[in-house]
Parts: sequence; structure tokens; C-alpha cells
Amino acid sequence: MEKSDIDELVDVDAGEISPRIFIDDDIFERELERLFPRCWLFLAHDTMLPHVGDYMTTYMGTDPVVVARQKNGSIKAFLNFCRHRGMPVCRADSGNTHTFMCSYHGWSFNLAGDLVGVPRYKEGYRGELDKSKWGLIPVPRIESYKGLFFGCFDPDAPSLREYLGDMAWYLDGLVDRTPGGIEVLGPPIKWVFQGNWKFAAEQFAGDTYHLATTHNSMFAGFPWLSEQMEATKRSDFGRQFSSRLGHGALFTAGEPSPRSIFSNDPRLTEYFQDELQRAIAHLGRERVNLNQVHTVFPNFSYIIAAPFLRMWHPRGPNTFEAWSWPFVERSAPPEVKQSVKRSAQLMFNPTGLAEQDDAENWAEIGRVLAAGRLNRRARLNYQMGLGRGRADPVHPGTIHDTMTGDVPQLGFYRRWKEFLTSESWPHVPESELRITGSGVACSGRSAGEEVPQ
Amino acid sequence: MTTRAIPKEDGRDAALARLLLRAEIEDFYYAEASLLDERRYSDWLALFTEDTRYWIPTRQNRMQHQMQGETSGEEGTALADDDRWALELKVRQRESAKHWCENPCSRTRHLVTNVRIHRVASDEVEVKSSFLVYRNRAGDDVDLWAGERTDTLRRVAGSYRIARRYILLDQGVLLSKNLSVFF
Repeated sequence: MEKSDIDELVDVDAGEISPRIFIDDDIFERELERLFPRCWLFLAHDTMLPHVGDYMTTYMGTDPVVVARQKNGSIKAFLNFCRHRGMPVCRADSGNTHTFMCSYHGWSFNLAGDLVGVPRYKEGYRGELDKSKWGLIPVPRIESYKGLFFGCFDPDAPSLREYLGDMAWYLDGLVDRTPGGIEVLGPPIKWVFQGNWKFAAEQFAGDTYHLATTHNSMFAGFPWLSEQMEATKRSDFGRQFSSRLGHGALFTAGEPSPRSIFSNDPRLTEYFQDELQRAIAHLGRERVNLNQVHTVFPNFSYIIAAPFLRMWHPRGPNTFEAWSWPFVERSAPPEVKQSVKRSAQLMFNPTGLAEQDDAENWAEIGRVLAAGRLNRRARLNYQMGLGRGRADPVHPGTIHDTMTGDVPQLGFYRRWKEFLTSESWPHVPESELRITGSGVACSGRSAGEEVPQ
Repeated sequence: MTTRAIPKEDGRDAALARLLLRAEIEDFYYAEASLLDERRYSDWLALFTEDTRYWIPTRQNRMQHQMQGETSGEEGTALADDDRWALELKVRQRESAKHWCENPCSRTRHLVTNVRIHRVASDEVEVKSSFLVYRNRAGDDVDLWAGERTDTLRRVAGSYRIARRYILLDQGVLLSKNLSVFF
């Protein structure tokens, strides 16, 4: 596949995308070669692995990896792949250990991934095996943003902080909203099904549009939600954020208000009013509105109001695995944590009032794309709000003055295309990034964008 | 509430009583399964008490010496942890005709088997049962879920109501796009 082929598949200026990017084997292989091994991918939150020796298995792209809490408190990660015959050295989803022993021939590795045990080392290898060369293959770069650990395989990638760029300002709404930060609850809820991982990633990058139709059936239970749906039609109700670096978000604008409550627990009303005041004091009025849905490029998403974290693990061109972790304010009373957790599960689990219908959409698109050939020749429309992004004095990045549109989605695919068509790490030219007064790197205006008065 | 174990004496009357109780509960389950397969969700909801809990904990693969983590507890996550209010929202959603993952409707078949009565109290019975649920939607879209239910059935006005349902689904990673079905 040539660069020009991919250029043709994603036309950001026209707002047209070929459905082939969601189904072609060639495209998927290229994602596995050029996207996932280069990007900073979410691994774990600090609170998922609280003790020395705590481990969990996850994926980076499609590669199984083990993430483990080290003796010195740091986090390391390795390919889950014994260097002897390739057997996974860790076959549990989570646990606590000091050694990962391969259950094929018994090679064992410590928490740091070093090869520490080889059966018949003297008799078989005559003591000549250089164990230092046969440790687990490490994820060479692991960095944290306020407790969120990301891993990256590419030595040419910028630091995590630079990779996040203008997204960090929004990400603070997740991890730095109140002084104590968040506690992520486990185990992750996982489900795997037909569809392409980008359906979910792009939706969480800014798709308010689908709510009124896809989720129409859940409004009956929450009258205030129907009112909010009406309000999303107003241009001043919310905004979309699009990062030149591929990240995206939707958020409500205006005066801060306590979060939406998907619960019948009366304690939450008072708790959320207090929580809002703590958030305003800690983070400021500009970014405490909770109706925020974000995607950190390429496949880490979250909803702050719901509240949960998500990974969209690709498993094939037309299969992906969703992982969801509810999270709570770390300092919240135990009974409040339980109610907040239940509210996230009620809405956004595979059993949830919202999530059931999202998955139906993604799986149905996957089904018709798998079956068809003529449909792959068509173009998909990404033109709502096309060219309507602008710079904003408060919010970093490119801002679209309504919650509904394709501005961040197109930004996501613009960045995606850069990764797939670049021979080396696709650095964004300095001229396309700017620094705001708050010191946050964010995207500048490009031709055709409106300038705020 | 006084709780006693199932009578162990081998007398014919006790054996018959156990048999009748089990038959009665099996009939209740078969009727319940029909309500779900016939999409009579409001009637199904009426089988639950006001203080009910419908709980599907999360399951993971764990090494044998750390099996206590296989099934999540009170503090952990759950696939569903619904009280009557939450169940009612889900039923109302199903009946809205705008719940697109169930419109067109799925075809389901609930098979309930291996019914075991664990405890009998004056007004409550604790029962374990196994289930196999089949779902077919568009084209070749088929799901099959196996698992175990532990129910607390409360005797109300000559019939039973479900006061607690604890569902162990035999999948770590859920192998379907959603759980728009009830177990």
C-alpha cells in the first residue's frame, strides 16, 4: 500500500473518509507497524497496582504485555513472551508475585523482567547461557502523567508530556480535579466483539451527535437528561476540542454545575455539590464541567461524569476489546464510592443503559463491512462543522463552538493518517503548535479557521 | 428469620416434601424463563421484590493460589449491580421501542437446569441453578452464555418473588457486544 492510497482514504479537507480504514487487512497491519508501536499507550493508573509485586496483563496494540509494580515502587512492563519458546510467562489477568515462571520449560523472570532462573542451567547449558541477554523484552519507555502510566516502544517519540500537548489541560479534569486525585476500581470489565476500534475512539473524541438517536431509549429514566439533550442543540451549550496531535473531547460550557447523577442514592446530591466546590477551588472554573468525554490519541478514552476509563484494544481489523474501569474520588466516603461505581456500571457497562446501544452500532457497521464489497467503495460523511474550528483565549487547541460536529474526529484521522504514512515518527512542525499564556502547548489556527473577535 | 438446613431424615414424607419444593421452584423458573423468551419484561420485573438485588460480579483469570480474586466482591466492579429501581429502568428501556440493540428484537431461549435447594427458611429459600441462554439477532449474530444463579426466593402471597439474584457468568472477557438479555 502506497502513501497516496492512504491519503486518498482520508480526505480531511473535504470531510470524507473511506470505510476501508475500518475493515482492510492492509490498513490494520499498517496500524500494527506504524501506529501502536509509536504512540504512547495507556497501561495502568497508579491505584490499579498499589503493592509491590502487583501485576496485570494488558495489550499494547495487539501484543500481550505484563505491567508490574517494582520493589522501588516504579512501574515496568514487558512483552508477555518467554524468550525461550515464546510462551506467555504470565497467564493470569492480575495478581501478586515476585517471579513470572514460564510454565513450558520453567524459565523464570523477576519483577523487573530479568531472567533469573533456568532449569538445568549447568547440565543443559553448561553454565554458559548469558542470562542477561534473555530477559523479557521491556517496554522501553514508561512515563506517568499524574498517576496515569503510559508506555511507548519508539525511541524517537517525544516525551509523554509533549505527546499529550494541549490534551494535558483537559486531562487534568480527570486526574487533578480535586486534591486527592482518583482511585480506579477493578477488575476491568472486558468485552470483545465485531467492529473496528476506531469507531469507539472517534466517538469518544467528540460525538455528541449520536446521543439523541442512539440513546433515545435511556432518557425515559432521567427527565433532566432529556432537557440536556434539547440543550445540546444550542450552540452555547458546549464545545468540541480538537488537538493537532489527534486527541479530542466534547464538554459543556458555561457556569459550573454539579455532575449528572445516574443513581437513586440521595447522598450523591450533596456529595457532588461539595465535590464541585473542591474542584473549582483546585482546578478553576474553566474545566470543572463534568459532562466531558475525551479520547487521548489513539485508544484511551474516559467520561468524567460517568465516571470510567476505557481502553479500546484492537484485536483485528474487525474485532476489538473494550476495557472499562469505574473510578471515584480517592477521598470520597466508602458508601459514596460504591454509589458512584454503581452509577457508572448502570450506564456504561455492557449491561448499561447507554453502552448496550453503542456496541450495537459498532458491531452492525462491522457486520455490513465484513459482508460487503460495494459498500467499501463509498465515502463516509465527516462534514458537520467542517472548517469551523477556531482558537480560543481560554481553551487550548482548536475549538468548535458547539458540542455537535466532526471537528475532533477529523483531527483524530488527520493525525492517524500522519502516523500511517510516515517512515519515521511523525513530529508535528513547530509552526503548527503554539504556546498559550498558561504555558500549554496547543495547536494554532490553520487556514480557513475563524478568528475569535 | 430462622434458618434451618433441609431436613436430612430419610423418611418418605421428608423426601416428598423436598421433591415437591423443588418441583414448585422449577415450575417457577420455567415460567420465569418463558416471560423473558416471550419478551414480557414488565411481567418478569414483577417477580422481583422491592428490595431485590440483581448482581453479576466481574470474573478474571487468576493463579490457583490467588483464586479469591477470580470473582469480584462488594468493593469491586460488576457487570451489573442493580436494585429494583435500576432493573425497572432497563425494563422500561426495553419497552420503549427505541432501544435499538433490541429493536428488531432478539430471539432468546433461557434454559434453566441443575436446580439445587440450599437453604429453607420460614419465608425464604436459597436456590442454585445453572443456565444456558441463547441469543440470535441479525444474520449469524449468535451468543451463548452459561452460568450459575444463586437466588433468594421469598414466599409472597402463595408464590415466589426474587429477593436476590447472584449470577456467575462463565466468561472472563465477555464474548459478546452487550448483555441486552436478562439471566
